[in-house]
Amino acid sequence: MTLSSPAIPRGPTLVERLPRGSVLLVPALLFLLLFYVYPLAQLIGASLPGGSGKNYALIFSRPVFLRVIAETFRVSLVVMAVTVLVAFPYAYAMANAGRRALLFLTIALLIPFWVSLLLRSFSWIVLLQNTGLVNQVLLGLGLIETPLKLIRTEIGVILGMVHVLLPYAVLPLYSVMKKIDMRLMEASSICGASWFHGFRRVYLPMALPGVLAAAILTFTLALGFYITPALLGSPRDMMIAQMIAGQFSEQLNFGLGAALAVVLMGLTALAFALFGLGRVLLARRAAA
Amino acid sequence: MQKTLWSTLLVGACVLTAGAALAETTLTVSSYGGGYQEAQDKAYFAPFAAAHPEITIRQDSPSSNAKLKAMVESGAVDWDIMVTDDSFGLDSDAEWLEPIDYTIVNRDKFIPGTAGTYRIASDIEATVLAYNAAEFSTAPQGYKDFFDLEKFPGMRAVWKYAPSGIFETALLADGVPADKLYPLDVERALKKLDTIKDHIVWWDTGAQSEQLLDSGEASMGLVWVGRAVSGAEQGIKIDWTQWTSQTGFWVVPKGTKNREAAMKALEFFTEPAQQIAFTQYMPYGPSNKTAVAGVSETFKGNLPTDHLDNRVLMDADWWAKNGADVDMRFQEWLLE
Amino acid sequence: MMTDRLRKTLFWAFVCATALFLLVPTLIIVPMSFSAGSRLVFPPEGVSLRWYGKVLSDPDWRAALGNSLLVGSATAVLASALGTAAAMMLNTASFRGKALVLGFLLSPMVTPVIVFGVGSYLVFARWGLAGTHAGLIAAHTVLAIPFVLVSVLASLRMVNPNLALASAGLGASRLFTFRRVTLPLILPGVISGAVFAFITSWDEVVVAMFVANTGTRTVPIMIWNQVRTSLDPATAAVGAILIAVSAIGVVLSYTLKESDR
Repeated sequence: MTLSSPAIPRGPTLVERLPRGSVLLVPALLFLLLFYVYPLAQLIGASLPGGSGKNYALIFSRPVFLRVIAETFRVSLVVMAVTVLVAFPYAYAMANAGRRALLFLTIALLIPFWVSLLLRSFSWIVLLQNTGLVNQVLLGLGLIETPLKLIRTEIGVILGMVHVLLPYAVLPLYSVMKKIDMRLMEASSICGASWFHGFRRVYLPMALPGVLAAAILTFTLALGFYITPALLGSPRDMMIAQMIAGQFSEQLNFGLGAALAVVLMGLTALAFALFGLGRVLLARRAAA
Repeated sequence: MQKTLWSTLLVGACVLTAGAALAETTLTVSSYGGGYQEAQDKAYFAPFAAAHPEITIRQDSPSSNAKLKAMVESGAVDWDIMVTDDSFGLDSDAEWLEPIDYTIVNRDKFIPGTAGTYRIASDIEATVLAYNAAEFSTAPQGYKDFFDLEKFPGMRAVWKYAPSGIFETALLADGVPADKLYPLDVERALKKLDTIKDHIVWWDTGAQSEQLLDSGEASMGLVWVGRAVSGAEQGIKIDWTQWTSQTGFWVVPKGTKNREAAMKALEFFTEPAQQIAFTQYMPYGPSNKTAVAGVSETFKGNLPTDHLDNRVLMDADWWAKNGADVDMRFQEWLLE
Repeated sequence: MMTDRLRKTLFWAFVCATALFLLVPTLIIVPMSFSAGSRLVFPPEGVSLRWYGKVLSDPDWRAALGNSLLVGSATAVLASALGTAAAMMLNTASFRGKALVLGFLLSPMVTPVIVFGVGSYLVFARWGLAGTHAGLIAAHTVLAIPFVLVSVLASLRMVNPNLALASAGLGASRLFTFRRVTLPLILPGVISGAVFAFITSWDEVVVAMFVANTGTRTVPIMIWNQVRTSLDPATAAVGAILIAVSAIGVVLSYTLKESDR
């Protein structure tokens, strides 16, 4: 087996010091270069027809595009906050539960994880429509007199998105929390600190890396949501992914659609960079 | 073990493709889904397949002018026939469509004005004001009432499509006389629409409009008459005071591999027997001159042709020229 | 001042409510798929299998099921081969930029699918892959490789590297060592990676929307079209079939993992 394969798509320094077995990596790398990197690169090319930046100029000058981008940010932030707030106690429960409770909580978390997002959005339509289960229950309890309008509203979009993203927030939180030594909390309460004080001063700082990971993962994934807002939102709740799809399949303006896709890619990368920065800062503080 | 795996996969692939290989030609037809497409299946597709065992008809939905254009543009045309609306299939759409082959299709059988270079009419339709009778004590009358939230509270179901007649409806409700509609005052129409914007729930497909009215999510809607009629059991009624007329057209995308079979199918779909059968399932008028006399009695009183005096005619030529600009403005307005 | 007990009760009530929130919308379509009525309401109007009958006898749904199975299986095979090979290398080697390579291989997980979908759409039309099974398989494999990689890497970490060294020391070729020593040890990881890869493709809709055509459309595409045209229990029946297939896969892979321990 030769190791000097010229097809390695990395810089020369890497080729010189190729580690053993590198040839095993080549098929996957080549495959991704061809079917993943190349299409994304083509997208950048298509967004700059003849090297002109007119599509980007359009995006950043027309209020309609800026509004959709701002809306995407706002919805993603709200979804991130709600998801992390709901995920935190859930992960805490998992980290401190007995065997059987842990099993139940894990199953409840993983079943939706493996059921398609499309089906779950479909279920939400059925649950939230005027004659749906949620309105039936509320009407039956006498809490409301006329059915609440829940689908084709922002509430519908947020519920649907939180539902999809919850496992992505719980898992990183859980992996951090299960390593936290609960005896520290006990110690703080023995020292006379209130539960809340102990939680805030002892537990929360240790759980912070998990919170950060959960927040960034949910936020970046939320930025690219398409199916859920398309099915549960109204035209006014449009997110950037829907606009990209619309440019490609309805308006047939591929250049503009490609430019919007590049903007979305950029925003996602930026969010991840911020996450990296946050991790570095946290690590520094822990070291200091 | 690996060999067995591969051969299993291969056999599986063969079984899957074998079904398709039996028939010589597969024609893919795209329509608007729901009861409309089921009626077409019963009246057109199934009889055609029975008469031509060598041709299989595969159905898709929903129809979309944009999707057809995207297919032609990318060179991957997999629809052979599509049902479309008045705004598409004009001579200005030549780059997307195959001309109708009038050596196969008989042009003389059509009602005047319904057979063009690139399209032939399948049926004469109407967009009507439909309402849920249980919601109101008095029946709404005309477009003014559609915009009257006080007398007629509740949500309005409207097609999210600029040339759907919504601009005409808004202007008529705002007092523009029917003969002075064109050129459309787009901004005036949008200003009128602003007054009910929070009470509009948009639909993309006919089946959705039906669902919105049936479930009570919308108390009123501008919907295709076929959808309104099929909601009769759920208490959906039609107000015929004002209505816009629409036509369903057959078109054939440019670059289809089955052009000749598609033309043959279109000739078959527009024959009197098939068109008369269609009127048993849908309250739409036929486009074939000889079929007009034989329409089924099933929907008497709710056929667009029973209410020709109240019809608002849409100007297809104006829309062909201005459609793209109006649509851009409409999309922006939706997000405002 | 809140007592400890009250706080605990409230806490567990919240956690249980969250579990319900996770489960109910996921599973509610299963009972609804057995409805005898034609409206999608809960509780369903009577019990019947009519919607399953309707779906399974409809040639369009059957073609879509065939497409989904074909594309899903091929994706599983291709992604497991590529992902397992890459994981083998990444597990043993240490080199500069390894984190970068790993990050790159995992990045399809977080790239917005819509962006990847429209990118593939642009390129595939030119390559003649638009609307083909091959195109769909290639695109789904990109999305599935990270899952295989994660799963196989986790398995590899539990394998004692000395076993491979011992095998090599006894004169076995590297291929022989892989087939007879390493592969049997990591097989559960490879299989669960393959299952994840299959499910990734089985549920995927956004990329398929742009890559598939009427002839190659998969079940999720049919559901997407269906949901937008009408809501009827047939969609719930298809959904329940999708869930059942995913569940079989997940149970299979977990059982393998458990028996391995």
